[in-house]
Amino acid sequence: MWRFIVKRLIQLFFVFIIALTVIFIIPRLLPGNPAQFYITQVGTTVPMSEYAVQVREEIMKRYGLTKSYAEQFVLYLINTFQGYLGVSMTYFPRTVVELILSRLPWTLAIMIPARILTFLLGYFIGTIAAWKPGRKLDVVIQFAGLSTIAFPIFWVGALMLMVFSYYIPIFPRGGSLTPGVVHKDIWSFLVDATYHAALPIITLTIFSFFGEALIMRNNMLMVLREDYILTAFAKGLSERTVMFKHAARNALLPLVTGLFAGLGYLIVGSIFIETIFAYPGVGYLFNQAILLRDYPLVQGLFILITAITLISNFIADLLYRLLDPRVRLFED
Amino acid sequence: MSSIIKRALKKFVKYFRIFSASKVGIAGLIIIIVFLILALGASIIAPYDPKATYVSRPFTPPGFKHLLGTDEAGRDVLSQIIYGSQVALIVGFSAAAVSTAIGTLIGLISGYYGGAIDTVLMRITDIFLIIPMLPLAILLALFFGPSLLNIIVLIGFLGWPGLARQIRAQVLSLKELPFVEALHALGASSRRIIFFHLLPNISGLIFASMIGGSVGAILAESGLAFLGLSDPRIISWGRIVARAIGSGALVRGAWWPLVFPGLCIALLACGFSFFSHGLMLLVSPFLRERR
Repeated sequence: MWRFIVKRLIQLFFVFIIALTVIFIIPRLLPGNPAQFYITQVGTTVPMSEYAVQVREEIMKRYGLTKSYAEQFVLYLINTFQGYLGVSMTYFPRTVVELILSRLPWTLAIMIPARILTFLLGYFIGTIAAWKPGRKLDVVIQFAGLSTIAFPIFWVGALMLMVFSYYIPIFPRGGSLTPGVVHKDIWSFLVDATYHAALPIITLTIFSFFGEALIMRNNMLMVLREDYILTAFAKGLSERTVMFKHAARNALLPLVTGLFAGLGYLIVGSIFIETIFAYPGVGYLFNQAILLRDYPLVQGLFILITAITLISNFIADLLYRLLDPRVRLFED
Repeated sequence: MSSIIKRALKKFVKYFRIFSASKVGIAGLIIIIVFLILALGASIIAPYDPKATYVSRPFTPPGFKHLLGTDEAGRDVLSQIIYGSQVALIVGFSAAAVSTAIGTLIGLISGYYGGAIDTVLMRITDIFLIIPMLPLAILLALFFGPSLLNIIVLIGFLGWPGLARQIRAQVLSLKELPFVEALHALGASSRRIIFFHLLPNISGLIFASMIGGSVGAILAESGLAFLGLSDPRIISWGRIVARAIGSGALVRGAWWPLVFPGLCIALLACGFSFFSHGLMLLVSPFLRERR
């Protein structure tokens, strides 16, 4: 087990360094040095030349651009691992890390509930669908599970917003809190935040839970063929006991590890969902950084998303080994 | 000469008969053909110039004059969708072709040679598999500029690792078969064995996964376009949606520039994935024999 962890961590570190290297190389492939590249962009996005000079100095300092490429690269790696990702161009004096951290709670506030809801709904509905294969529910799950992948998530979000905030105005039209309202206590703040987060959460859940239910259904069908299920029936246990206590527990494994393995995709999805709902999280920040061509911010966000994806994949692998002794036995 | 054509035709009919057993596959093929016709005949079929603005009629609801309504600048949505199908198909096919070519080559070499070459290539594949693709595509499109060619190369270049693994697995089992041993005994070079004997054996899988890969390419393109990373000179379905939202279609209650382009993305993506599903019948011999 420990050997596996160490080996995997070394591998992750290696991949992360490669991702960082790619980010380091790309701006240097383009004509001119990165600072110039940034400055021409700053000229178009930030009109004040005083700012441009300040930003330029910051960038020169950050990358040590007067030094050789090798020295720059080492400096860049040291900076990154010390948690310094440079300064944003559009929110100038603020650093990239500062900005990301200030937006992260909002993203977590919609991602974590959406992930949990997806998991629970996928688990229950997938299990029930597998119990009577070929029935209506099963057919619906199969069809929806395969076809939701074809729908662009931003489109689903736009339709939800249009129907439930404009035609039938139940939910707010975007944002994370009612503008201009001063919250007296934590409860009124929570209520307001939940009200604004509801539609993004529902959208993310609808978008991903059919796929989750389909995985659960397919796993259930595999597990139901096992001998121990037959034994459970032979013992005279009720259908529901066999279904939830015997079969579903084993079919659940990939869903549990999927809780973490899917995190990277969820963040990518949040770029679109937060943009549609004008929800001020990390994804919305990413979209703004793209529109305003804030290169340091885009790079910082990419590093963050890569790091989260790598770590969550690692946790998923680890969990699978902890939960399923067969995998460990097979390894040894 | 005519006998060759006749034989090819006969083979085609035979394969088509196997393929047509899959209703889903046929449905997919029809969807693709419809969009292909729209794309090829765009200049004839489209009722308006897709870029012509009619300032007097922004957000006209669907009606006789504009079948699918107009967008914020009075552009005809139907005409934009018809021209947009060109971009969707070009990106879908060519990006999938790029990633299929890379994936096939890496899978073949990795599987055939094994050893150190295999280890190195598969480590590289793992890296591409684990790094989040869309954010990387966004980053690269931002730096290199979102021209149509760049978008195709980008999506193609990032989409191959899954296929490389599949092909490698196929080659690993294929190369143990007696006919490869016979080829070695006959003194055939490695290159000959790979490209003239192994490649034809997995051509069905390659074709089916290329069609399947188009789904990802189309969705990736529409996603990038939605984020403003598309060629400003061309019309893309994702961009129609993004522009409509950005210019207040929701406030005006104008659902048509949102709903129709999004439906087209989903329909074409479904078409490709259905077609690829049907093709798998041809690829997988044991599925075929049962029929």
